[in-house]
Amino acid sequence: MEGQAHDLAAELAALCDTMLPGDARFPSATAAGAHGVAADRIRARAGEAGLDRVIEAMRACGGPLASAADRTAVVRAFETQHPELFGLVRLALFTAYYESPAVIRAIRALGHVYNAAPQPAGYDMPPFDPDDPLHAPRHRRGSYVPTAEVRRVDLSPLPPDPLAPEDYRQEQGTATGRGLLSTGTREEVRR
Amino acid sequence: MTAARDRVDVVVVGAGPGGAITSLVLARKGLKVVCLEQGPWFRPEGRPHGRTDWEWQRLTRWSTSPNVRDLPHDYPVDSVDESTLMWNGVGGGTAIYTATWPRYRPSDFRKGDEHGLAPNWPITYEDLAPWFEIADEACGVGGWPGDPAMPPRGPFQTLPTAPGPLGQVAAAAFEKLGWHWWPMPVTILASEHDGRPGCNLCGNCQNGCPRGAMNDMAVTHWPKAIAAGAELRTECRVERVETDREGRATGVVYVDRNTGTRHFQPAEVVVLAANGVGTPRLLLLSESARHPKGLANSSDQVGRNLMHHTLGLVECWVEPVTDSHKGIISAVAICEEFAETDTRRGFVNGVTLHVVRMNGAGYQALGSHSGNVAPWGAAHHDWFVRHFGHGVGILVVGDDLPRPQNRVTLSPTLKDSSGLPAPHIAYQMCENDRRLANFGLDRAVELARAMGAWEIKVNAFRNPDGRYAPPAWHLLGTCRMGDDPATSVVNQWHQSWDCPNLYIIDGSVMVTGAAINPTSTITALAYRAATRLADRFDEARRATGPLV
Repeated sequence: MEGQAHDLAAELAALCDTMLPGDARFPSATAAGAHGVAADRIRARAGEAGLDRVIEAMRACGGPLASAADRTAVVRAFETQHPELFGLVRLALFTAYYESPAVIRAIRALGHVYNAAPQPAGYDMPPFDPDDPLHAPRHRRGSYVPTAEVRRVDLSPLPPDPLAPEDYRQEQGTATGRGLLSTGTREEVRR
Repeated sequence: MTAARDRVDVVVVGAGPGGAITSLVLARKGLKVVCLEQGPWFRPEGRPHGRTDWEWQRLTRWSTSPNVRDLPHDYPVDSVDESTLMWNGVGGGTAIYTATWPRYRPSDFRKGDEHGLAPNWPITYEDLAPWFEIADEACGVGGWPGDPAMPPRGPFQTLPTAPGPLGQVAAAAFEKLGWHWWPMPVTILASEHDGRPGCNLCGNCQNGCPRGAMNDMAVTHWPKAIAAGAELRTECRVERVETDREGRATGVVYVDRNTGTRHFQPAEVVVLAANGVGTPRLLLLSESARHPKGLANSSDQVGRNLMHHTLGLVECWVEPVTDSHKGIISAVAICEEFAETDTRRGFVNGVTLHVVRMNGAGYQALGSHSGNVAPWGAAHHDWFVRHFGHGVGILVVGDDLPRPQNRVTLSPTLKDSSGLPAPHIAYQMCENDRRLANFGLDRAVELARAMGAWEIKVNAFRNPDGRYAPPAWHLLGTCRMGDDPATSVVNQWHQSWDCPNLYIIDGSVMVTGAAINPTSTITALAYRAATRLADRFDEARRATGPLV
């Protein structure tokens, strides 16, 4: 069991540092202490077996990671072959990393004002200035149709049946991103 | 076993905007009001704003999706077509929203006249105009008067919150394009109003506001409603509305989630305010031999005509510092250049652009709203240094057409923690919606280019096969109002055609969706409906037909 525990710790540390290595500006994931927090989060969302699934998946992708000659290749295979599990690892790790004190200090060193938590301090910004035309517009552009002036529009430019279900196949490949706001369907949670 | 409670004048189901306003207005009239809410109170100190793990909380326990939270007081939503976002608790959706507060425009109420692909509302903008002002005063709105794209409104309770450098980058781009733009009205105070403090620009609006600067019904309405005598019972999940032989509502059956006991709450009048998914679900759960299609559903319109808006998000990154982690999350500015129908574009209805912010460092590294995820590995930190503090979000909101196929039904498989069937949602764009959505995305990309963006990312909320599967903040139209009992569920006073002492006061009644966030209009409708109900309550409690 002792060996297994060490294996788990070494594999997680290797995974986190491969994903978030350190450089002159930022600490590595383990130096920031993010790996332990991330492990807790993986366990919270995927259950006790979640961490074992991560380790097993990496083994199947060329691991164990800690002793792999090319760690990047192993993690890339993990990302490709187990996208949902990898997504959970990334979610847990990135949030853990960017809340760690050392990383917040690194962000501040770049010149940003950045709080560890939104409250209680909040942020200072110059208030809305009624005399600034980029705050309070001077233009008179824009209009609306008053109730009494609503008239039937010319429908001839519309498709033959505008209420027909869209042919979504026309949109295949048009969406270049799937942001966090689009997550959360039952299907995705179950995966 | 079901224990009966003392009879009340009105039982209200749901403690969000519709339920809070209804309870306040009726209690102030001296009526005995009980509101049943399946979720709990969320106290300011319980919110994650003071915790260093606030971003993790934002994406899990405090997610806007009940399916991600997966908490016992929530109910799951069965759908692969969209991701319903809602909050079950005191304040309803106002506990975790963006507090964006534009109004429907006059033509939004006359789409039957304008193009006939959606019906007219039974009321006009002018009918609602005074109630908009009452709602604004009660909620507290930060804004700037004189917008030529809308009928006059105001005075606002405070100035807009700070636009910051992001707002100035966007304003300059709008000026370059010659498009309309205006500071977005928001129910977030820039300065003290009604005993509430101004916003301190912390950037985490979507976990609510522990300061009380944002309009959360738990802050702005419930304390006043309770002081006026309304009783709010939390953790009480309503299972069904009961009716008598004449088809009048007699009250509701609910489960106290703390004790597991079942109660019958008798009432003279029942008001449903459980949002555009929860209300039709409850009506469908209330089916009986007398109402085999569900209660109040002789028109077969309960659950149909669901509208979510056509949504898209374009994010871009520019050379100037935008500080996109500071300030209210949404929205700095609104563009209503394309809000009215112009069929030369190939579709009816309009679209608006909202300039929004991006949350914190972790959220931005995870792709923010557009899915522009920072690479892992050696390139990660260079990506972060280049992108963080330089982003701008552009939310594209289009007016989707109501269609009967887009509907809420009961899930055959999924249940909530009380064993009640979850709602099932079917939702798909129509061809008009597709054209509208793509037009809006193109304009947002044009705006990003006018900002001088060096990187642009588009999230059209489409699955790899091309299907639109949006986040669904706006739950509208599923018990729409009208003049004809054959094609609508309630009349213009929110009274059920079928069940004369049953009222629906939430986004379900909205006939069209407009191209903007709906809560401002929902609150105005609620003040109008509740005031009428209070003023004519003696007639309403005895009504056997429409109370005209």
